[in-house]
Amino acid sequence: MLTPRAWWFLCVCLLVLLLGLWIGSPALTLTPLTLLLWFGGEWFVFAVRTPLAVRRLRVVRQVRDERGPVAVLWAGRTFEVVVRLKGDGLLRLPYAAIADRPPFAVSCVGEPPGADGPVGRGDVLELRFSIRCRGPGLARFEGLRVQIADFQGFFYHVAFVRAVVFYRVLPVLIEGGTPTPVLKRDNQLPPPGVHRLRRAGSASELLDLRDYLPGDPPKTIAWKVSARRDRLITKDYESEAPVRCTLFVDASHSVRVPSIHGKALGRLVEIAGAVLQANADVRDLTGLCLFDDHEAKAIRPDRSPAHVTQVLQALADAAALAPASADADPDHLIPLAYAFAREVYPHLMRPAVNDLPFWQEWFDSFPRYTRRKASFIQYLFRRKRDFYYRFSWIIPTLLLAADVALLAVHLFVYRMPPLLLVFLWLGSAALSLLSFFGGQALFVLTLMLSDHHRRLARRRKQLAALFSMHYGLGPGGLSALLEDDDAFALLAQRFLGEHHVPYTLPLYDRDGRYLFASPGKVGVLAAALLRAVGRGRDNELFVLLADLLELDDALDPLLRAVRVAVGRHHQVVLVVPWPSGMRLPEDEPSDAEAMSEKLPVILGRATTRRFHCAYRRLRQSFARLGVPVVCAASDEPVPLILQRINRLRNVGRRR
Amino acid sequence: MKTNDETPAPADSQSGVRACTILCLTGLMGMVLALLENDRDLLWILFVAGVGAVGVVARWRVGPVLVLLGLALLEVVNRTPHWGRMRYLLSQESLFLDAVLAASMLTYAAGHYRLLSLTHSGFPVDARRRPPPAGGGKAPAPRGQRRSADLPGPWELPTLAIAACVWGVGVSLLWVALSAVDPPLSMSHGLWRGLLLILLIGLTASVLGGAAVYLNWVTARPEEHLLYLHDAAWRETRREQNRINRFLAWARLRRQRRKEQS
Repeated sequence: MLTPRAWWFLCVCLLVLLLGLWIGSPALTLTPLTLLLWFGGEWFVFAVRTPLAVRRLRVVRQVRDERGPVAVLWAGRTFEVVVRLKGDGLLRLPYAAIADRPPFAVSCVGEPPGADGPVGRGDVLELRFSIRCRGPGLARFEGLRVQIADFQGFFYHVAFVRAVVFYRVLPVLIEGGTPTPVLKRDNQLPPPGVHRLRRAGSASELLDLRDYLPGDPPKTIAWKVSARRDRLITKDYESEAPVRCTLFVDASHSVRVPSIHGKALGRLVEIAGAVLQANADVRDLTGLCLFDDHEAKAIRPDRSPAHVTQVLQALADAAALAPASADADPDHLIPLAYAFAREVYPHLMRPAVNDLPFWQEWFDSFPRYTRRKASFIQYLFRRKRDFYYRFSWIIPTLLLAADVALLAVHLFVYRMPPLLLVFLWLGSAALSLLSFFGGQALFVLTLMLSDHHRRLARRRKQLAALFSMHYGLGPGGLSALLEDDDAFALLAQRFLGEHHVPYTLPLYDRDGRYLFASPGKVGVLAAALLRAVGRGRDNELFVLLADLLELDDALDPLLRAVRVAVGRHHQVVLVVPWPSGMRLPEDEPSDAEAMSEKLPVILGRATTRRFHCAYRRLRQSFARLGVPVVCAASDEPVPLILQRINRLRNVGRRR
Repeated sequence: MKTNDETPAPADSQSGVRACTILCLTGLMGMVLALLENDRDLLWILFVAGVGAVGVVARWRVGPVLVLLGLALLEVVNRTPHWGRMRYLLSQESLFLDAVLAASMLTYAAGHYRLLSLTHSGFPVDARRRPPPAGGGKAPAPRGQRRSADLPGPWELPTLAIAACVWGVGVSLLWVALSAVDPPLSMSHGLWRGLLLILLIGLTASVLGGAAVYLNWVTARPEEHLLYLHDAAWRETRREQNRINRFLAWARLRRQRRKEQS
């Protein structure tokens, strides 16, 4: 709470006061005494006013565009954020500075915002800044960071006024895309199984004219024709037979892995959003199925505006998902999670409620058992207490016991030469001393070398306490998280993921296996596809936006399901996400290209080749079933899907 | 309502900065007058005042501390000729002038620190590293956050000056009250006053500190209480809990290893 400025001032005042008392100078006593008492008075006012005023602070946030406040955001667009901090209590903070933390899903236009001034009892602090949405997902505003100080800068308090608000960032709208033909060119009845409903319905296309019958709605009367024929004629409209399209979007961990250019899932969501909006324009029905390793969530095809909004929201929610792996190293996640927790939960990270005393840092170490390979220093740090006890106490005690036993043997069982006895005793004493001092020295050396690990241990304890409270693990959860590396890593990822903090994860385990292959999703996708086929009323288009690269061994269930779909005259398209920054499959490097001798380049080339081979294999597998496979990173997917929809719409015309 | 839209003017040209500077110099003037009236050495007075004035103009962060130390040096030098002959000259010095000196010093110190808040930083500098700019180059150095120079209202500095006078007079009266208490057990006056002062300040600080801590707990949120209880439970049973969880972790890892091997 005291700033360095205050500590200096306090120390010098105390020093001068003692000097004044010692030399007996009233002037030199009264002056620092006045300063000290004024300092104490200021501190007390600050200490009383701050907690009472902070708890009454409220944040009011509004995100708006040029037309006014908005409830959802759109990718690629700029919005203005207006946030106000007001206090509804009787107390007023004379000086506070506020700073907003823009969500990670958006970028702040210009400098990070901040404002300062009095707040409370009618005084309001306001921030205005612009944000630009990068891609679909969720923008989570946590609240405002409030720094409170006195006018002199002696006392300081940091609080975070939490006001969590979510804004969905919906995929960008397509403007001026390829126009989809919506005109009906003929009314021939398609063959069985591929049919259009040419019967009276409620569509807008005229089917026939007939005599008016009592009960027909007056609005369907064709007045001009009625006037010409001198009797009432009513219009029959054609029933619509719209094309249904179901989008199967992969939301498993494999597409959530972030990279410099964003997540693969982001591109899939963009494609799905584009298809959805194109279909909505021509009043076709679009359904959505989000699947991962464990489950599939489906939204049945529909075309109402509410349905479109619902699907867009589901896509935005999916785009915000974060990957998780139990193989992540907690030591890499701790600094990030700790910094974030200190920023957003300062009240739960303060030493008064959540601390690890320094002497516990010296003696305690966790976790004891872990799957990860530890460095030598880390090993010493984790075992320091064991080593200390063993070397400093157990071994000397055992040697002492051995001496006593030797003496007993010498006295009662077998008389040894005295020289040998003295030699053994001296050796034992030397070993005891060596072990004792060696244990002490090793302990001190470990403490000196393991500053980084001690800091990590303290932070891990504080985070474990926070997670244990935040996720309702109970008092035992704290200790469990300290000892269980995997559980801690998963909870740290969950914490960061919930707050939309981007973090990096290892892609391969210690045996070189890819951690995010998610083969379980193939079965889930196959089951969802079969379910959709079973519910299909007409020939439909199924778009599989799934990462199936390098899953050749597990593709059989999906191939069977696709075979069923194709056998029932449905169309299937597979869109494969592609790692950002990697050459597209059409742009495969030839062997003749100059090869650099640098290791990263060689590794990059090998990875590219591996992906290209996997893509080729996947394409061959699905080509046997007549299913086109396209790469999501190219510009092909949306036109191809719309072309397939048009083909379904025009089906039968050629026959 | 304060917003971040307003473009700040240069700090030196702001009225708040000018007013703080004038207040500091006024405090220095009061100190000089009080010291002159107390018959201190003119050279030393000018030295202390010069340090204070340069501190204000150059915005030294240690300005008030230097002035206070200079004042202590001045008093020590002033006492040196009388050392051992007369240690307590309370009866010969004017208490009023001491009160003026204390109030002036307080005015100077508070004004100087407010000036620093307006021109340097009002909060501790955030030493965390910042990300480098998008175009490349070095990350910007950590910078303090100033108090906006237009924030001091018209009554802020007059109120400070009046408060300084009140504190000066109040503490002088307290000093008189302490001096009126006779020392017990033939204790010297200086020692007795020192003990009384330490007792009084310590007691007041303890009571007020306790009240502030209690208030902190009373106003804490439920999750803070819950976390505190979690922490307390862990501290008291950590050995047993660690042993159990260590064993569970070991068993889980062993099971997992066997599963991978099989």
